[in-house]
Amino acid sequence: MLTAVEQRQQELARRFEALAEPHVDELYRLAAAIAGIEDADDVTQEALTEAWRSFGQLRNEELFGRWIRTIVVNRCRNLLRSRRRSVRAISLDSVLPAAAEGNLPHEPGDFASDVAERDRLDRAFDHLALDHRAVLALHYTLDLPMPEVAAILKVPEGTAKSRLHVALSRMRAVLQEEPTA
Amino acid sequence: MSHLVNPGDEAIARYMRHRGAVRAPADFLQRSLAGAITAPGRLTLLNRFMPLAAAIALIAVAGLGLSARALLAPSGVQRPTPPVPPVPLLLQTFTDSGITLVPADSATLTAGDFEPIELGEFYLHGVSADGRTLAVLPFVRGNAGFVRIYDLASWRETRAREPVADDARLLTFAVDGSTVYWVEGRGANPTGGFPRGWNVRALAVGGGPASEVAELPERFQPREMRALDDGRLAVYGVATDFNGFSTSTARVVIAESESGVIAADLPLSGVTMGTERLPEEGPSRFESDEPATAWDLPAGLLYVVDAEAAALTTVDLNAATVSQQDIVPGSLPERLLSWLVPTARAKLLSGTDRSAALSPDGQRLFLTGMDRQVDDAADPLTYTETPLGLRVIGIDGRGLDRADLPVSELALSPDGHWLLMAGYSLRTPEGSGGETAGSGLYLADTANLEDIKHLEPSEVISLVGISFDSRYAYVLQQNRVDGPSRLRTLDLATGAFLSDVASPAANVLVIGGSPGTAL
Repeated sequence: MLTAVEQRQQELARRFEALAEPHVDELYRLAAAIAGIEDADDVTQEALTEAWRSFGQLRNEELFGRWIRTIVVNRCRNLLRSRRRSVRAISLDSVLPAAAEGNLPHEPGDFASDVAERDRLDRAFDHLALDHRAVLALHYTLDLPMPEVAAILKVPEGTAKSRLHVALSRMRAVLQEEPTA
Repeated sequence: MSHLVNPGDEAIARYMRHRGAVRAPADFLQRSLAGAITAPGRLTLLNRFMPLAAAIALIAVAGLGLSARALLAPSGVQRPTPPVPPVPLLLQTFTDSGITLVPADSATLTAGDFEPIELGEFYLHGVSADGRTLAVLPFVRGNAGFVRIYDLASWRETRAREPVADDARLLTFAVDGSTVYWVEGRGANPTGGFPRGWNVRALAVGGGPASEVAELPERFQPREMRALDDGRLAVYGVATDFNGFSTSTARVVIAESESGVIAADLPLSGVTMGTERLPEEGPSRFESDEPATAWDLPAGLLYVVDAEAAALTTVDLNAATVSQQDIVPGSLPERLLSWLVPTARAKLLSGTDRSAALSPDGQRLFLTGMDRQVDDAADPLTYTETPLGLRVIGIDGRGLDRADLPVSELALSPDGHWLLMAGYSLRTPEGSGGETAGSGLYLADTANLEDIKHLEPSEVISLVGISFDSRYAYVLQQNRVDGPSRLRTLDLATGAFLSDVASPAANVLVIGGSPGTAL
């Protein structure tokens, strides 16, 4: 016989799972885009756990997607801060096999076939601040419109656009400074 | 939809799509939430004893209105998320020239690319609430130096202009991190006795001279100090004579940091603390007790559990009031277990040290402790230390759970999910080197105290702390034949050890995490 507290807990868990399930892949992609595929598992898992623990605070379930994307971005922020002061070597090998898997989006002529360009872009991206990484990932990886990007980042739309502009400029500068050999 | 304004941006857009060209593994959501969603029907330790005393226990629980199991689950009380510190921990290394401190990776303990700071042979420290600022007071050749303040994000140092007194202690930050406080003795006894009293001093983090903030009451010896939201300082301690023997119960003094006025001096009735003479039991008879304390600064509360764990004293730091409740065992099994622990009686250096950790929701206290006895009836006279196990009580004094394990220290992860416990027992007949029996490390999910992992059984382990993100714990594992001990990193989710550094060459200072309650 379940207590009232346990019944309420069960109902909440069912509701949470129903709302979260359609977003899991997208959140995983967002985490991979911002923090790197090596940490996507941890970041997404922590974000889901945090979301569950805070689920009672969510007033409007229609905003679940936006709310949980914000949590993923914040978990990435935490991760990048903790990582900031340590030297981190990431093997390109750990990233490239993902693109080789047949069931992933694969664009003709994309950078998986151009390791040198990918390497430059990786290094440029690694130098971006979280705010700039997040705006690029939300806009280009998840293909979200700028008003939604701004809402997830909890900044005015103009600020989000400005961050996108800065992020693109910094990425471009690296590409231009280090042309493909 | 995309804001591509430059032909070259297409490469960037493609790159971003590729960075996210992954899929979550199968059943990822279910696996992620497996530990977070409390499954109905999980049993706690209390339930194991239900067949023994089902009827009585059920009556007791029903009388309390809620089941103990429900109370062990997260309460749903929301607290602000703790801030993320710019560095997760500092690696402390002992060298021939003294101690050095340097930021390090929280999993591998690999030192970052920073110039280590040198801290002499001993140092005191305090960390701001946001984990961004570290204050240290190094001692070189036994003398205190200058308070130094480090911005942990930039590793930039600010140094006080004048040295502090050699007996300075309790480095404590203001809530906003703008000021660091400490206490210094006044009227020091030239024969080395305890100071007549203590003064609170302050230094602005931005620089400038140190200033005197408040004069604590005569004979009051401060043990712990915290800054409150409204700028006042709460100091927990006890009055002593020049020899350090307690002359009062534990007390809480509240001082105004602006005016220096002592706003309150609150005796904690019945809470004995420090070393007391027991003249009725003969000359040279003492008892030494240390109550457990747990500060809930967001709620403006201090909890104190006396050495016998008979009462919970709650100090409302805002209202300057004290209330007390008996600690009530929650069930017959709880009482049965409590009877198994022999009552400590004072002999020579006998006494009890308690320690506590408060759950992040501020609703439960996890208690442990160590009982010390000198048996002068034995031949030869024998000194023993016995760990007192784990008790979990609510802040209303109600017993919630108990684990009869040989543990005397604990650390609770900042998210409240993990409970780490360790302990040892010691038996030293006079004239012998003594026998230490380690009990290893116990790791538990706080929502399910029945399922406790036992790691490195029989090793002597001490808890250093848990990282701010509740992922890693740091422990010192002592070699049982007096060889070098080891500093180890434990992954709390998997129970696996990740790194291992020879110690006493190294230790860590966890920033923004939970300290262990080593006694």
